[in-house]
Amino acid sequence: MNAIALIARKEFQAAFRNRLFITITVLFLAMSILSVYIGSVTKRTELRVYNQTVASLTAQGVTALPPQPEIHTLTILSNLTEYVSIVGAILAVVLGYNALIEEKESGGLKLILSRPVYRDQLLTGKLLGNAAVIAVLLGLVFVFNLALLVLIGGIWPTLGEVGRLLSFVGLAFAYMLIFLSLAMLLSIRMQNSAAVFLVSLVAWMLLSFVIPQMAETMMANSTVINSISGATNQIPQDTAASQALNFLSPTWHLRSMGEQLLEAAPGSVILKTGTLIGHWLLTLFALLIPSIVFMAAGYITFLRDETLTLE
Amino acid sequence: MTTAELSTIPQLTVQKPGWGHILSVIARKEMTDAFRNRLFVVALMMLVGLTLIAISLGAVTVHQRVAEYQQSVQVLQNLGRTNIPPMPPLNPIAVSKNFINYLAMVGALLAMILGFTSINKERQAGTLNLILSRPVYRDQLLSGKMLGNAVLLALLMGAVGLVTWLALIVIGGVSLTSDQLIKLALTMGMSWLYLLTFFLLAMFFSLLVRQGNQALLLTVIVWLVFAFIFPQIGDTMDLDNQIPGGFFASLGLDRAGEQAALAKFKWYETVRDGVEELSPTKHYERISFALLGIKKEFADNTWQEVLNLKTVNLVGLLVPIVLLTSASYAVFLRQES
Repeated sequence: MNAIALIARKEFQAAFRNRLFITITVLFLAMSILSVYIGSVTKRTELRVYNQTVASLTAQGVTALPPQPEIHTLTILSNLTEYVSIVGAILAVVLGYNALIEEKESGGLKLILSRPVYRDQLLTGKLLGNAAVIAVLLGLVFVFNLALLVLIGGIWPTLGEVGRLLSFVGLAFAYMLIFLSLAMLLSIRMQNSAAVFLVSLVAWMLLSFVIPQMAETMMANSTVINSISGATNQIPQDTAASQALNFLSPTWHLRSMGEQLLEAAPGSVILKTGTLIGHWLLTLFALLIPSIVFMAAGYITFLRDETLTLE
Repeated sequence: MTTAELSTIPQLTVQKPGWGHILSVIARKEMTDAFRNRLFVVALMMLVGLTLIAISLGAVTVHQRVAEYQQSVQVLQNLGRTNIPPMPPLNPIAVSKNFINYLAMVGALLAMILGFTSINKERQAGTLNLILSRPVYRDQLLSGKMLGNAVLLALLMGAVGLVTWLALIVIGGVSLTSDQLIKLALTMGMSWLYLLTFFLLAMFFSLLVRQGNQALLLTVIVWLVFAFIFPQIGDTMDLDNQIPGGFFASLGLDRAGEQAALAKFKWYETVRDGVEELSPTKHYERISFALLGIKKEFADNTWQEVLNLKTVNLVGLLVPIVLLTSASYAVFLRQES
């Protein structure tokens, strides 16, 4: 069998023998189930509060009634963006750092490299194997969410909605690939496994929370006046500075596109398919760039690495 | 040698070091070790950098507001007006809002690094067994480690509080009242409790699980669940979060109308609140936002009133600390090296 395929298969099997990986996977799937349940309970309550408010307003003789809140099928799944950006990223980091550091620490890496396996084959095999693990996981998430939408939410999604969910899963794959390749790059360069994990964690935190939070402070607030009650409301608006900062964060790209695909962003339901595909391709491009950079750096470092030293 | 000769040899008396001495030696070593840990230093620099940026930006905003008011006063005086309007209420300590957010993430990570390395470094180097073969009790070792790291975190929080105070005076051009100063100090105290929770969590798992990497991963998973996932579930269940600008505002309901509408959905609010109260991060956020007056309804309360109103959150911060400390002692004292 081809060396790359053999290594990839070994990586795939090894992942499912790792108890911690299985724990996080179960957590990920459990979160996914919980997210559908919470989403559907929240939406039902929202609708009941609306109906109750309308009933009391009608009883008071008010004729200008507030419009019914828009509730879309996929909004129930919109929490998925959060779970992918939190648990999904950590899962990818665990996979990435397990791929090399254990073999480095146990001496297995030197043994493999003394066999007729090229360094690039080894790295490609490991990348492919772990990417396949992520793909299978996301596949499970996709199937679970569709099934739960029918079972818990009692909604049959349309073909378009299935397409939207599938497009989101595709972006989630590209997003998780960033953290997989980052953790692999770090485990090539660093010797201490705990340090690899912690540095990956710092990077994740910086990209996922610190940068979007800084961008949030640079947003401008616009005031909206409610036509019925006259109450004023502050809605944050993007500025050039906040957009520039957010552009650096893959998590922001995933969240922002995820909200459009899962119908959580205002006006995202009426977006034309062409526009949506355009946005999706741009986001995919933005998400793939970091992975390509990390992978290239990983190959360069690993191919030049000296494992055996002559004395 | 005869017995008579033996008795002439001067007796060597070995004085056992006192409890306090042992504790202080271990604690001091923990503090110096922390600064030799590159990862801790990196996380510390990140936290300090972010804090300085957040506080400076906040202080600049305060300065701008004061300058804008003074400018308007000047214009009115030039026009010959005598009835100058008073300065709109300004809450300078609310500048710490972003710092609280950074601390909840980077600070917690910093504390976890401390807790993990505190035990793992000794296990890896084999010095844990070595120390325990000396006249040091297990509880003394653990107490010393907790004390050293707790002091280190307290110093860090003290320094951040001091920098905020100085930045407000130097950049913002405002001096704090004694009540605001106490509120700022109390917020730093709450931040210290919050960091201590995650330090103890990492320490507990490092004691419980001998394999360092597994301990670290378990700590991170628990942290993710309590610090991100529970608050996130709470946020999702918050009906007002469903629409930009607020769900209740879109229905034209004010605060009283919102409460009246929710009165029939008490079970829903109880579940939502219960999920949020499982998270130390939410307790920390609630009490510190109240102390800093970021939550407008607490802006006029004195620090005693805020503490009274937010006792639940203070207890919510203290309970995990007590539980994790007890569990750490129980695990370590029974462990066979």
